[in-house]
Amino acid sequence: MIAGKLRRDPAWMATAIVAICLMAIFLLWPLVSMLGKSFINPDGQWGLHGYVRFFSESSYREVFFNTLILGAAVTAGSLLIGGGLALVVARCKFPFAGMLMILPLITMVIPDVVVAASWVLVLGKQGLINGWLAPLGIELPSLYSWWGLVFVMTLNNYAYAFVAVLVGLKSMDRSLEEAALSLGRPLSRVLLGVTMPLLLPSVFTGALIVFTHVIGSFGVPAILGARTPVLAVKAYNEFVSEMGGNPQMQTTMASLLVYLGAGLLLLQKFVVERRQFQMESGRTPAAIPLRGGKAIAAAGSVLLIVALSLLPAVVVFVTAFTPSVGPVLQYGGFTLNHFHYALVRAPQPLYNSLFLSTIATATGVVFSIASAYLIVKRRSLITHVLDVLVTLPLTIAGTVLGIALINSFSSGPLALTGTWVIMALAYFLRRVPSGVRSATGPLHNLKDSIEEASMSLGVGTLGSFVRVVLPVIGPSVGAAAVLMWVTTLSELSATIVLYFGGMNTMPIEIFQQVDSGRLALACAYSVLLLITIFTPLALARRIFRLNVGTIE
Amino acid sequence: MQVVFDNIEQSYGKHALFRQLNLTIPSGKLFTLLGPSGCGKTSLLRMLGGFIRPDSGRILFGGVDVTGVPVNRRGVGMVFQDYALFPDRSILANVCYGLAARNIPRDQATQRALAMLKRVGLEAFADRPPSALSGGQRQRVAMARALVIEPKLLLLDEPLSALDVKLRVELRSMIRELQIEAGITTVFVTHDQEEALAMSDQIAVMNRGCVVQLGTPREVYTRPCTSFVADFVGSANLISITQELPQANGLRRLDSPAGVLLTNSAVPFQAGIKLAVRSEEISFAEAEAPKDGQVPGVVEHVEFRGSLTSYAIRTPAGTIAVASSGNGQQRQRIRGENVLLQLPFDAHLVEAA
Repeated sequence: MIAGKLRRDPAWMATAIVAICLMAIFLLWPLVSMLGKSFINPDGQWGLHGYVRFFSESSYREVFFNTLILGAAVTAGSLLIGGGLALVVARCKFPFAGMLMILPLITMVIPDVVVAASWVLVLGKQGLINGWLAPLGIELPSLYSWWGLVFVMTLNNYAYAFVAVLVGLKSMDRSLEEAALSLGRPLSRVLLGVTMPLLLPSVFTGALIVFTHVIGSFGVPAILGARTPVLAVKAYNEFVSEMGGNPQMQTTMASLLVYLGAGLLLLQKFVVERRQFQMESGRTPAAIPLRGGKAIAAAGSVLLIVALSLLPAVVVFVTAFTPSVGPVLQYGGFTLNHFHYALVRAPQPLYNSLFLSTIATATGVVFSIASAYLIVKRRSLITHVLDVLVTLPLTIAGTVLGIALINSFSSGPLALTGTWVIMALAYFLRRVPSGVRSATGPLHNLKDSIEEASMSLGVGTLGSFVRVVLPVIGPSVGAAAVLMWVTTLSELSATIVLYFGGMNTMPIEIFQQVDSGRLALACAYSVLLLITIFTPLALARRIFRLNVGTIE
Repeated sequence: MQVVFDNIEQSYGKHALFRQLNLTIPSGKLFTLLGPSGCGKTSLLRMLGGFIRPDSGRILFGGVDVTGVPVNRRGVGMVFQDYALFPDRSILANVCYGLAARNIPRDQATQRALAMLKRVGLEAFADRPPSALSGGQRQRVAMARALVIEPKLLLLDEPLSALDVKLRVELRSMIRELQIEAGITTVFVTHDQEEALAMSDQIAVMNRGCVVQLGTPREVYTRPCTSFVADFVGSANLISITQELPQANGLRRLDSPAGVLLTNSAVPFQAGIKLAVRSEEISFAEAEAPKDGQVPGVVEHVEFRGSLTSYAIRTPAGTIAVASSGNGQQRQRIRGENVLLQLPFDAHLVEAA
């Protein structure tokens, strides 16, 4: 049954084949040839030289372990904060609890670089806090260290753990706990013995998402991690270094990241998802109202987290209007110079970002809808292959994807390197998994009979899809499109590899300004980026009722 | 329009569902496919709709081979178990949908749709979304949507099974009235024997991909040809017959674990044959010792159901269900009481399934 339900559907069959070919050419081939190159020794022979050298030279080995340690530390921190918050919000009632619900959206879309830049402003050597402490002769430990990296990245990633655990808690059926209680168990034993095991798969899911994100992220480690190099950054450095650029070491490191990502995805698919319990969707457990000290503590911690998450936005906003002389900021002053520069003198990054994101989103939405429809409604071996292919980018860090694309498309009939097409392509590939997932949800809920009814009333296959299926999945696809758009606007890790002179995007511009110490200008660009991100998001919240559940 | 299944073969993987199935559905009648889940009744219906293509064999609509014709060109109306109304369109737009696909001018389509909605008693709801309607109302809209395109063939896929009992009874008479009025050939799929008996001109009782019995509701109920039909349609008591004894007084005498039974059934005796006895045809006898045609037993369970009282009676031939009409003539038996059952003479002999 290779063709399965596609057997009598030439139009959809053709769509499926086109989709698979696209993914094979633009994703699978670059990925496979990159993995292949990691096995080609400097002398041109096949061999494990790259991997041997990687693990025998301490400077490389250290990078690998740094990546793992960073991943583990940030995951632990995110679970602690995100999971804890989810637990408190789901099971207790107290003032300000509702504020947490908007947090995930905010923290997920504020670009890494902006967060990193703002924390440099607050906690850096010349930062606000050190400025206040200096007269007292105290200095904060350097932000450019392990703790700075873990702190900033935890704040960047805890929302994923929060959402995963919250979804798990919300799907819990109250009667399970009630049954355990009625059988004579004390509440504490019920929570540990009944609730915890049921929640574990969600916790693991959250942990895997955070871990995958962290090991693949580029912006924060590149800005804060000079002393703690990680794989994504090191691979990039190896890529750009004019002198020692070793293609095998470059691809070896990128490949190691792919193996890690693929391993985590397999772990998720075959271990965690298998353990997921099918729960009768019943009533969720009632929230217990908190009073007195407990309520204050809970509300306080919520407010603290909200403040820490929003701080970057506030800091960049203030700094963007602050006059600067070289790298020195003169807080208290007011200037529009930075905006004048970002909007009038050098507005190109803004246009580039908007252009690339729009192209990537438009193609991504069309592709995602078609693929999701094929995967859900036309099950067959072919669409199963497509399902695997569209999930694949989840395992590929942005930097790696960039390196793979540039290696494969720098010459030959598809010489895309140095054009905007390759950048849009990278954005498209990176967002396809979440785009497809956002469309599969409502498609699963859409009964086959609706489409069959349309066909029996005289409308053909494609007509029925357009007239009946699209309107139903429209809102969630619209929400997904907005998310796709705003997340591609802040894409940095693939862009840093692929961009070329004249094609700077906003995150690149911010990254470079931070790198060269012009923080106020970086903040002006950041504010513009945040505005372009949050305006459509706010509209989407109203129009499509975009909410926590639709993200990732 | 007469509909014919001609030598249909269909298998799923290694499992063959239909082997050379032939079935003719007469023009203008309500034809029911009745059977347990997995018997193939829905597959047959979906073949008529064009959603499934048989591995081999032909489907003829009024003598024309439509096997390769896609769904949207078959001109069939279909009503689904889960209503399948378009959630983002108003009731009126739902009913107009098929007319628009046929390029009928807008005002004319609206007129016809409104007339159809009036016929099903929902013209006041024309502008509402489907979500504002109850299940029964939604199914009436689905009916209107399927009928307004004046299909040659109407397919009903368990349209009543998602509704509660009272609505089901109400809606089934409406469906039947609409079908008779339009004189449209209709195929109705159900696993509910009561629905099948109440609505059909003809019933095909199906089991494991085969049509086991074909006949009018009365024939299928009173003359089931196998123990499967007897049990599935009206859940008859089935009493094993061990041998045939010499006749007496013009009635055949049959030996069973519960004693000698009497029948006028013409079905010849063979190994494994059973006597099918409807529970409502059994009465309580007021004698001391059982005669031929009577079975002794003990009341195991009593249920008062208003119009009748149902009993489970333990007998040497197994538990026998008895339904006694509650008209006050008969004394209510109590649990544990010894009783004597009088079986009817016209009970029917059936082959083992």
